[in-house]
Amino acid sequence: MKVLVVDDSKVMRSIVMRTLRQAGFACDSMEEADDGISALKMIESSHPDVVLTDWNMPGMPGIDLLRAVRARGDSTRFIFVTSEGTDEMRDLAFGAGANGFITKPFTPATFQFALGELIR
Amino acid sequence: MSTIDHLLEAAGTSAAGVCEQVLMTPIGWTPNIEPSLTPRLHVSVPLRNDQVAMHVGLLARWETCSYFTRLMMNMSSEDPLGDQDVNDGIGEMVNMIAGQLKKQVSDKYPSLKIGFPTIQLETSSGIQSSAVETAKKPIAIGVHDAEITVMLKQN
Repeated sequence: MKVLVVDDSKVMRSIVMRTLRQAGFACDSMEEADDGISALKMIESSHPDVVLTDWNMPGMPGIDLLRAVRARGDSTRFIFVTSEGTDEMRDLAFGAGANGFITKPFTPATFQFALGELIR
Repeated sequence: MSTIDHLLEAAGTSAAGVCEQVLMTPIGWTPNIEPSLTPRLHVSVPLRNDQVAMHVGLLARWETCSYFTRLMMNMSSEDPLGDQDVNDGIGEMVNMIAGQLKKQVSDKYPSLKIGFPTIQLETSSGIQSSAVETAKKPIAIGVHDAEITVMLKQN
């Protein structure tokens, strides 16, 4: 499984990748992007199986990244990993075509529950 | 309880949750903290809607911010950690506190938008701000101490 982790925080990208491994998900490759625009290019060139993205990022927020990906007919699995876990944001995410939603702070168990069959 | 005190209490609860989950360390409440010989970092995240503009933040020594970042990244004290990593790590921690705070106060302040973390040095006159109201709450995490800060400006 190829995973792309998108977050403007290097520390958080590192924590997300570590938590994925701790949660037992087997990843053939993990790539990183620090903004939505870079991520959009990487999704097109690398074709990851799953994108784990932050919401609140300078330039292109995660929700705009998802919309741009879906607008070109790409059904890559998309999971938000964000500090903002309100119902309003969840509805917005799933309405735009997200496949999962994880609220920070999280644990390996949170990843197992949220991702489960989606990417195992 | 005043609005600012209510927000500070909510911010403290948010910080306690984040510390327990991210740092795996319980937060302690302390009446006083050791005076710092060097200016502390004030890391804050704005939240705003049509009604209010507020900031939630953490005021802490660089060593404390570094310690928190190492805990978050599972790093030992020997692993190299630069200023940028510390700024990044502590900014992310306060961002999580802001996210928890937003959820806690969403009934009273709906649709708050969270901005990006900013980091500045504490000034000699305290937190530099044009906010109308400010409040601080000392905390202790292990041997480290810090202060949770809230600034509020009602529109």
